[in-house]
Amino acid sequence: MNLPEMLQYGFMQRALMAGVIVGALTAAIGTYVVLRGMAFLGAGISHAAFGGVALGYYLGLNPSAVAIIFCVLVSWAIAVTGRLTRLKSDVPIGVFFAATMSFGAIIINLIKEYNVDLFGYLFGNILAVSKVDLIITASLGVILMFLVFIFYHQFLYITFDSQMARVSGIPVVAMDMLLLSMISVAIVISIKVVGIILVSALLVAPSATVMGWVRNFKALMAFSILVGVLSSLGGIVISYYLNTPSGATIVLLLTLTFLTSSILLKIKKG
Amino acid sequence: MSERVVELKDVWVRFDGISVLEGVNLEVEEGDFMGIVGPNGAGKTTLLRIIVGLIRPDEGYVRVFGREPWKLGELRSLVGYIPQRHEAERFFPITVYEVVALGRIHRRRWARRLSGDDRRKIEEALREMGMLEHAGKLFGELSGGQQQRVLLARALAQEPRLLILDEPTSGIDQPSQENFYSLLSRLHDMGMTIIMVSHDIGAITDRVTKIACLNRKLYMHGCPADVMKSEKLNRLYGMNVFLLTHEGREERK
Repeated sequence: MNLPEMLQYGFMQRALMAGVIVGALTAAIGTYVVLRGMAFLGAGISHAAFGGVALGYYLGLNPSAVAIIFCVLVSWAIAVTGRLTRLKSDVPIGVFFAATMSFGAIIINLIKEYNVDLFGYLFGNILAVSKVDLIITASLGVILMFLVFIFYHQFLYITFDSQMARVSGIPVVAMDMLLLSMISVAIVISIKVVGIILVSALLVAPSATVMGWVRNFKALMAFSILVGVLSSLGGIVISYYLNTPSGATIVLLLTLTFLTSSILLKIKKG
Repeated sequence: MSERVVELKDVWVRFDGISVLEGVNLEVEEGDFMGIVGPNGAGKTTLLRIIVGLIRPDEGYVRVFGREPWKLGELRSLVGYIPQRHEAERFFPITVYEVVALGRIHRRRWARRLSGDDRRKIEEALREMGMLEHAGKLFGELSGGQQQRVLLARALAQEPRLLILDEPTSGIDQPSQENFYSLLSRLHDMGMTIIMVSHDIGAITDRVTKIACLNRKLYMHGCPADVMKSEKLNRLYGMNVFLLTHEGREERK
């Protein structure tokens, strides 16, 4: 089967479009996640999505919408708990990570008519991207990219030095909450493509791949987006031909790209 | 009469019930170059963080340019702050130019591009600090002394009237320290008000016009020559203090 034939299928068209949006979005937001050492937070929030999806099903509401609200609240709770307890940030993440998964497991158990595609949510199900999903993904993607663009200088300043940024008049706490919300939304809209368990790789791997090769922040963001988009598209195409799960294929392709980049960088720098 | 830039009256700060600052009074007038010295854990950084509005005191009166520092509003750009040595990640992808451009952020709300005026101020600040030829380099690749000069350029790019520096030369080699202090002296000569914290009394007494000695309480506050002759200096550090000045004089207090 050749490539144009593959594109004749509506589900593949939607999958590829969703892959482009999700790949670009997570890579752009992921630059801040990587530079601020928030990779574990990404994993924590994505696992919280399991609780949100389960709650959505239990309440009979849209699981993705409920997961967005749930993840935003959990990300804020992680930040507030960290501030109140003055513990290192990975401690509240570790607690909420397990707690939200446990919450999801209990809620799933309460659902009487069990027809939830659990495996699809955990590892992604590209076939499940409907037209409505694509419209929602595109709309939220545009809003998030607009926020990334509008607050470019503020996020960069906070990432470089949050103290100096605060003294310069940037509302650092509010901006942090906004960034957490943006990470949460990006994670939830990526779940259908790569799944809850794998989504944090989309946030981290593109910038980790590019870092070390670029000499300014704009280049980091631009090339991370390129890596994110190409890996998503490449992963979906490969998964189509090899008949492998698309989410896992995207993540393994990203990992391969990251490892190759790291080795080449090591060779280049000696 | 010079304008009072910073004023603290009976300022108390406690962390978890433990006093960090006890009844501190301090005045800094326009054009002053004030050094704040004291041993480690004396509350020096806390004092600076109050002045820049990062911490609110539990008690007391604080004014910077006549306003509470956490309500400075548009006057915030008048305060340039360099916190304790910034350990930049080596691969953090930000150039020297981009770091200095952050100093213009208060004039660049949202995603506005740099204006011609912004670019002029950034280049002026880089030239002033002798870093213009390094503008395209990665910040993380510079030496500690060069990084501090870039951060100073960032502060200057925002056109401040008050510069606040927290241990700006710690971890920097001696020639770079000398170079940095000379830059500060030049800025002071040009009319900049400067407050600088250091645990190294000898290094700053020759540079500053006023000195304050802090160890939770503010022990002394005045001209360096008078303060350095005071017996209270020994009480501040809890031991006899040997003062090494930059002229190579050694004076036992």
